Amino acid sequence: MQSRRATAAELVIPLLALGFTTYFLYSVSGLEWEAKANGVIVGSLLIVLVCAQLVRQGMAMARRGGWLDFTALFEPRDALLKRLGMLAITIAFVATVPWLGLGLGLFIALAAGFAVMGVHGVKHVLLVSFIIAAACTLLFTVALDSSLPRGPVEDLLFLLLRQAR
Amino acid sequence: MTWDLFGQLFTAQLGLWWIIWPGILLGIVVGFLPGFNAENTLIMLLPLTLAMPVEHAFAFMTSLYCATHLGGGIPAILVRIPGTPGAAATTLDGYPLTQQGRGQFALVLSFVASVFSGLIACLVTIAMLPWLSAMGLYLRSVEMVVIMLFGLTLIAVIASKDTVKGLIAGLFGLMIGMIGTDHIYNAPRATFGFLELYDGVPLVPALIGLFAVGEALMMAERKLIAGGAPGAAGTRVSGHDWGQTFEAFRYSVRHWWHIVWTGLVGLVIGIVPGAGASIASFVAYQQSRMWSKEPEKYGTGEPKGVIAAEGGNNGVCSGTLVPMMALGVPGGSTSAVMMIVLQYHGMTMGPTLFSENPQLAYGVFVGMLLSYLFMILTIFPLARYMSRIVLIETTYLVPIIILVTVVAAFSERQYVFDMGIAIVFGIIGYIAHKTEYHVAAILIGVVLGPIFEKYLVRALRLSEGDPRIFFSSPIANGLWALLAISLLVPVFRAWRVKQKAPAT
Repeated sequence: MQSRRATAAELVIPLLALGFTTYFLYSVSGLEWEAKANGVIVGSLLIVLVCAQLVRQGMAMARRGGWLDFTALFEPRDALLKRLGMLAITIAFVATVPWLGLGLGLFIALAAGFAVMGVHGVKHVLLVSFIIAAACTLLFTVALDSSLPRGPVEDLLFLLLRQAR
Repeated sequence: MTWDLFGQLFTAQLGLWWIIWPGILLGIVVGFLPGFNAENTLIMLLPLTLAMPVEHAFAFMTSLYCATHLGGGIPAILVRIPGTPGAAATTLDGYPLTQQGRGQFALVLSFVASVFSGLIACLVTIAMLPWLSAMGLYLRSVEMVVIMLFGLTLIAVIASKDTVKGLIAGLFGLMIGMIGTDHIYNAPRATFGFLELYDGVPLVPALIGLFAVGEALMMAERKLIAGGAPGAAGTRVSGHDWGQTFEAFRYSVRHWWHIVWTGLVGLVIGIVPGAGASIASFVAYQQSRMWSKEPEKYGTGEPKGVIAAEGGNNGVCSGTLVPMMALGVPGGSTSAVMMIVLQYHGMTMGPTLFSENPQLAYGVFVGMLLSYLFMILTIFPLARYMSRIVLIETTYLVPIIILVTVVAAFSERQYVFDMGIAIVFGIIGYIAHKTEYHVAAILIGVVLGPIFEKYLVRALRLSEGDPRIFFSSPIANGLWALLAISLLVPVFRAWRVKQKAPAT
């Protein structure tokens, strides 16, 4: 089997690890040895390995090219928009859930998610989103009594439950 | 315990079928849902269990507890999302089997391994309770450091394909696992200024991010989980017949010993207070791979990998109750909740429980035994239908998995912040997937890192910094020898294969 072409994309995780380790070592610099011993040992090993990977990868890229080639992260192109769309929707959902509440927030996010993923038919998208959002709201907030943020849907639901009692 | 007492207890527990069955069903559902576990469910149900007679409450709680361990393996196999941290190791071979169109086979394997390892661990516990409770006293921080190393060596095993990449992933996970306050001085480390990280990185959001969100983002490029397009050549989607169910039964019967010993690994680890299913399943998986004649098949859909992970995961259940019943020390957070119920009813935990109230003390384990028997009847017929989840197109699955699991990330600590953690780990998981850094190695580091550090620092504090403490007890030395053997055997085997190669 032909070996895969080394690209800069493969350096993302080592660089993340290196950045985090540097920050960790900085954050424990003034602490007692018990608080930092494990981190210093593991962090030092990690730095050595990341350096080894950087050298290995650098040599491979020098031979075959691939500098600044991050395409491995974005391929296949037709799925890229779906992924970015789903990420954006999820971040927006988490950011707005304290105001919209679980029920409404999840319904909107699911509907947007299905649309981004290419599910056809507005009625179908809205119906599936409604069923899942309703099931999750009932499960998490009513049955499991989780303290997920409440919005207009949950307020209405609890009002109805109180009146029913 | 005499046979007469066993018979009486078995009959009495059988009469509680009406409370065991709902416990099993609820447990399977709770185990299936990432973010929910037996502990938080039992806390929510405390008003109910406190109001029940203690025997009823315990039958309900133990059946729910055992069933969550079984239920956690279902999403781990079908969509690579471990329902509980203990099922994380199940994804390593369970999900590849699903991708090969053998989801039903993997599910049944996992059910057989779960039920029978749980049953065996339970029987051994009933037969050897006094000795097992003493074992908990002998396994201290020194011995636990070595047991943790068994689990951590799995990082090196996973790294065998590309050693440097695998070790970077594992060590990165260990570093992430050290976020939060240290175990001695409570000094914050690498918390980015977030108070929410003072307790460390929460395991469930990290698990959801690395596996569920990361994998769902990967799924976006496929139409179905198993194979390619529906009906495409070479795609054999499970769920149409009972064939895979019977095949898994036959396979399990042929490898019964594998179920037994991985269950016993789980039992021993479960006895140690603070150790849990995630450690047990990784250690059992690592040992299974180490001693296998075909270790290279692990991680690609090796059925024994599923058996080992689930055997370890479910063998723990009886073990965690041993220190609680025999010593009055809860073996885990779930048994701590159970202890609240017992204390509420005026029961005193410890050695006297077995002489003063043997009906309750042994009844708990007999009830557990019965729960496993009921589980067989409940879960096996469902495997065929559960495996059909892989027939749902990813256009539906991706939004549902990402959004619902991100909501579930909230459940463990009830912080919206944790939903953000799931997203961050999801991005890390996706990049790791795409660039072939093993996500499981990162997770092993995140799971085992903090526990390893806790025992390591505790042992070193006891010895005032002298590392010779790790070789100061016969049990620890025995464990070191076993660790060395289990690391050397694959090397020796590879050397033998190399030696034989020119002759053939």
